[in-house]
Amino acid sequence: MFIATALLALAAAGQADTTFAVSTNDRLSLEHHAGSVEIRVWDRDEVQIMSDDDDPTIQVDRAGSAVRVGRRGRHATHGADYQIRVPAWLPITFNGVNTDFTVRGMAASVRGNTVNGDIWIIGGSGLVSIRAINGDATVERVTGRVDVESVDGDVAAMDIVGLLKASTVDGDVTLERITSESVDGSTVDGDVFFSGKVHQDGRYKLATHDGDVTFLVPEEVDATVKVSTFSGDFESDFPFTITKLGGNSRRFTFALGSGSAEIILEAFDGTIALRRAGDN
Amino acid sequence: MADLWTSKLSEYVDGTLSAADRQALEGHLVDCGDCRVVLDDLQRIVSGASALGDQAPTADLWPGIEGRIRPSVTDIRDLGAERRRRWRVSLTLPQLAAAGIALMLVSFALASQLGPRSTTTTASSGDTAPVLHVGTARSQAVFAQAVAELQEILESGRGRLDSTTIRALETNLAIIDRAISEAQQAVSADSANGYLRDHLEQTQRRKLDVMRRAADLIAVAS
Amino acid sequence: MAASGDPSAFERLYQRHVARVHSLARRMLDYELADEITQDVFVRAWEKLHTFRGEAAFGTWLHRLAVNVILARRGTLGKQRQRYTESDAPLEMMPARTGEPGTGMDLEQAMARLPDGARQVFVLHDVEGYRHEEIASMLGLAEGTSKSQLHRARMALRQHLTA
Repeated sequence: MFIATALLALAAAGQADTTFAVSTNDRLSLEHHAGSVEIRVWDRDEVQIMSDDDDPTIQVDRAGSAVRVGRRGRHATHGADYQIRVPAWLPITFNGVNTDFTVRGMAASVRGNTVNGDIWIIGGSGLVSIRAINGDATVERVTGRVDVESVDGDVAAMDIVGLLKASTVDGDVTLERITSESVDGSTVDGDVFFSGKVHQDGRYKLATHDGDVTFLVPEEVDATVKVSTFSGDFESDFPFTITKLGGNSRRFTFALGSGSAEIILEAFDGTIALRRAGDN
Repeated sequence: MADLWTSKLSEYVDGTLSAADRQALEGHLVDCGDCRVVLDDLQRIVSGASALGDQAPTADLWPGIEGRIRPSVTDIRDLGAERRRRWRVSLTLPQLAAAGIALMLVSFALASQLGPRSTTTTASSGDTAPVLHVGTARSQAVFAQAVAELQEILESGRGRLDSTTIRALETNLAIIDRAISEAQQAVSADSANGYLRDHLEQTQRRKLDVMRRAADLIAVAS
Repeated sequence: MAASGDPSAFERLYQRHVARVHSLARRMLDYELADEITQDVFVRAWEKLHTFRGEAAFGTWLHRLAVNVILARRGTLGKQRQRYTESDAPLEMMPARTGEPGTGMDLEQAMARLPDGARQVFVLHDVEGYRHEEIASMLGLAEGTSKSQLHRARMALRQHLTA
């Protein structure tokens, strides 16, 4: 394996700057223990890392096409704010502990995890997969496959084109202006909201244990709607005729138009609402 | 002319030229510096290729593989009569009142009667997704066992996590436990309800996911 | 234990062999698909475990299975890529970039720039150690074609690496 390790200790007082070239097939992996990381794109085939840390020690390791950026030594766990510039085509992966991540303008895959901190992805193409444990996770304007997850925090996805899965435990799931054939939004304690296109063969599932589920339906829609709740209730802006009734009155199915798409709405305890887009 | 000789260099490097061709090429190499340079380069490339090491993927692919090799619950709305009978048998036991804890105690008892467990779980992070055919005592035993093992990992490793993380994990596991308990009560009151069984299963899976993520954090922090 | 269907034992095999399988997938096809293909390989290996009789090392058996999975995928890749560009939801597409001349690159990077056929022969022969007779059978080529593809790959690599 051709491996090059570069340890870059920067003496400049106040602000540190590390820049290195990347090329096709490279991918960037970033580890950051504490602070914040903001990643933006530029039109150079280089990665630039700016840090306000007093005594930064940024380490860049290259192993084949994988470029790993982290901090070593005694400053590894101290808080630091990074501003990073990357080419839009560079796939990136990040991992943080007590770190907020913001990534803007990417045209390649973005994957990342943080334990305590928020993640905000604006722009991406391909796979965007982010997970927070204690923080909010938001994805906007991505085309591809989006997987956004939190445990204690809200999850939001806006202006997504592609496959979408969003989940959290304690928080709301908000899915807006979605163009997808496959949507799965779920939470345990919180509300789930969806607005977007309904493809004729699409499948859209929104589920919560304790909270409300709201599906904003376009005017002309062809979907079979399956509603299930244990102790909640159901409201609809659309007239409907129940075509299938479960064992009790809290599980039923009805069709809108030709019924080709599948809309599954579940709330163990909460209000399930089918709203007409445009009325809101 | 040069192309004719150059085209034989790869076979020469591989030792697959005929004796006559090899002899002719070696004669040519004496006089042709260009071909010697190309030969050196090709030998370096071949050496480099055979010395290339392997690099593991940056992401852990095992969860995706595990999810595909373990049988998964698809549609349990149409449980056969036999399964319903088994469920009703467990329901008649006095312990099966409303509490989820009671169900787990019964499940443990049944598990010990059933003998060795069908899925192997180990006390390591990032582990198992047990079969969750909700509605069978065996499946509940499997779930309980997975929870118990993950709980052991979390208890022994909680000192490696900071208090904010621990608090977030504990709070959310409590939220999920409450949801599981409510779902179990609902299932016990309406055992034929496919939605309730699905919902219980999904909520139990959610608990395992969160516990596994916590165990992964502990492993990374070690 | 793995042969009897124990997932935990199989996971240990996975940990031991994933680097090699993933590297093979990455080099034979491309980076963006390597994760997915690696998972396919191990799932197939799980399904076929009952056919492993222990007459060769498990790694050898797994490697051959991986090559088969990768080559089968190679056949559908062309159609899939076309579907990706036409669909509204493209999945993991590598952006089209050309490298800058004179930047120098390592062997892995240079291999990625080879045409598909030449690269696959190079990987199977020079990296993985298969003979031309085997490669020809695997790829559906004449043995002479395998040899000329290999030479073509090596010469192209030479050009990339000395640029």
